[in-house]
Amino acid sequence: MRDLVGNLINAKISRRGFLAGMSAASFSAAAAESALRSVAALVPGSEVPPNFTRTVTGTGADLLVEQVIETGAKYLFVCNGSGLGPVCDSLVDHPQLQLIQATHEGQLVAIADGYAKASAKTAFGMFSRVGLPHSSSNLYNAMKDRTPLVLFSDHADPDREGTDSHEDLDDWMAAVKPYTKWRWTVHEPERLPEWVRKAYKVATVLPGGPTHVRIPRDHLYKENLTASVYSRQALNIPMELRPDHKEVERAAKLLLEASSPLLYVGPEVSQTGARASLVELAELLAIPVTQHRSFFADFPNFHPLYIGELPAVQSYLQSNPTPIDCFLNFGARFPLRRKSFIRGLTVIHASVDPNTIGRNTPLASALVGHLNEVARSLIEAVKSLATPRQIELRTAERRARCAAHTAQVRAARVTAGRRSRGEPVPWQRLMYELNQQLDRDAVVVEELGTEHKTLSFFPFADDAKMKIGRTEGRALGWGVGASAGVKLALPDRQVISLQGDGGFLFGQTDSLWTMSRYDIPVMTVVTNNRSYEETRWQIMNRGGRAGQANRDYVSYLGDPDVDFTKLAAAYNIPGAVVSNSEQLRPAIQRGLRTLKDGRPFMLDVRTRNLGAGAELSWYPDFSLANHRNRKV
Amino acid sequence: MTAENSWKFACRLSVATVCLIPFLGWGQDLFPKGQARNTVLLVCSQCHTVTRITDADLNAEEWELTLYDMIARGAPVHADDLDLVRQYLIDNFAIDEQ
Repeated sequence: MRDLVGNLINAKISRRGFLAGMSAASFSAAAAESALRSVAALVPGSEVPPNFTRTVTGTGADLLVEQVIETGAKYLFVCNGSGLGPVCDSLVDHPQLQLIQATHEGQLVAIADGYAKASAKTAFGMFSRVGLPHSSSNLYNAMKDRTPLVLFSDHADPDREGTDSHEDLDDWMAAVKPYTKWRWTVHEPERLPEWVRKAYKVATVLPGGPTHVRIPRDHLYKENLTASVYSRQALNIPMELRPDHKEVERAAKLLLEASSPLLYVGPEVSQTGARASLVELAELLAIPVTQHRSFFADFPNFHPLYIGELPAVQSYLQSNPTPIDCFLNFGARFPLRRKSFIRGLTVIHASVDPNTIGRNTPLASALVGHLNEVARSLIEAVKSLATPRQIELRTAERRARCAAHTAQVRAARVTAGRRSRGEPVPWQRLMYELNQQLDRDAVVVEELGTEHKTLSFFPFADDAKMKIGRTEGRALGWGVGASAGVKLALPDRQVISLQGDGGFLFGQTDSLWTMSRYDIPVMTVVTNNRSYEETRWQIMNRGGRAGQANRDYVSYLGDPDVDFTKLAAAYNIPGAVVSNSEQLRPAIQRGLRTLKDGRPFMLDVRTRNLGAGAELSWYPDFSLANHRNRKV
Repeated sequence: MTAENSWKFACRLSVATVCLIPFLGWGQDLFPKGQARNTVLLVCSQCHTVTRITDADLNAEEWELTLYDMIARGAPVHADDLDLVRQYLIDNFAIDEQ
């Protein structure tokens, strides 16, 4: 479709040719007409509907702000920088755009990322020209998750750029090319709305991703510029691509003929709003479901057909007499080759991204399209190929077996959480208590080591709790900022941020400043085991020289023993330290009361360590003070 | 299950059993008989070697918490087997702190 729109805008094809092309690409006639109406305004020489554009005269920053507002943006996430000056001038006359300030570019991107994920809207941010390197770790996370972000910065003035002098590099964009879907340096200030529009469009179209636009500061200050600003209506091009109907029929046959299919769900399911349709498909065929490591819960995790993350398939196979013979990947980028039980299987892959399909695994069937459309089409196809009675005969036993297995495993986990107690607090008891105390529709933003820690205890579904995180990129330093963004997007739902002590110490204190300044009531829960657990397990379990010598060089965090409530107190955020399981419930309740009063809260839960090296507090001893020749 | 699938399953089960025999045989010495013995061997070995169990230096209370931690992380123990597994681990592997 992108090519068709490009050809239409560049007058390489006619309107009729565009409609024919859309039809050939499996768009419905209504979708094609709608797309044509939307892009018509962009076609050179065409009549632009009067409500599609308006003329704006002002500074470069005015043009930028006006176009941002036209996309429907409510917030502009910013970080301090002298290039923000002209934008601040413009905001005097544009009070409808609310600034949310962060104190570090990396956390700004995390806040914007959380906002975009929770709101399903594109988030806008702006930071200093030299802030780009700081932003890049969470820019990487956002790119991995295909989160739609538009990030601006100022840039050296035209008479300075390219000189490698003060605050300038020859090629700023090279460093973030892999982390951005599109990037541009503006050289004609009158075209600012055009670049804002394009950055928004490119970031938003699935699969999305961050875009970055750099604007010379004197362009932002330049006055009396006149340009056309395009309305949101002109920017909304429907992208609900339907899959090829013959391929759908083929995939439906494969699924019906399979003795033991498995549905593997990934984040595109949530990004395309396909969860409900996918539940219907899974229930129709009684397909057990497993979850890719995703920043959403892409299938209700307490559903009788939900068996867990991929390793859980092994246990399901123990109670299932028929090995998996058909693997349906819905919206995950995953190299299936590593799993022995998938080798030789019939694999079907559905994705919005043609670049993803078949990239890592040979396929029996490829379904390119909007995943809600794919799911709906598969349901229709299955129903057209078999009667309800035939489907029931094929699926009844599998449905019952899977439900019995998942109910047993789930009950064991809940029992394990409820029975765990002591000092320090077993983490599973913390999760159990949180689930008991939180609202039914609370949002859990997590940046812990394994998704099992949350997926096992909180029921996530469209009508239950919502899970956001951990990022697919897994670069730590995202979750606290992201939770602030999530709360901005969903102000009427409880939001908690689940952090490890190690993860929090990845420079996330900065976002407490933002939470405090703007009264963003998020409860940050630090599972504080004074250790990087995954690192410790790697070092101590591999039997290498460090493990044999009982030397864990990097994982122990207990010296200094950080009290996270004191960090929060520096930002005027109240908190509580919890040392044993008996203290959990009252501390959580106090935190929730604080949220109700409109303030953030910090819960520092001292959790029990487990596994190899759990008892170690050794680290390479070094004191610079002892190496001084002068005590200064 | 169709006849063909039954046959395929039987073949795969045979292969799996043959592969498991040395493992179970080796484990026999380390893992005494008990109602939950096979469940422990099958569930725990999905993620780590079973020597982690025999090498662990845990008392009864620590074994219980460790089991609950593993279950919460995804060890696929069924609720009906939970207490049997807990008791098996404590009876056979808990250290006596006296």
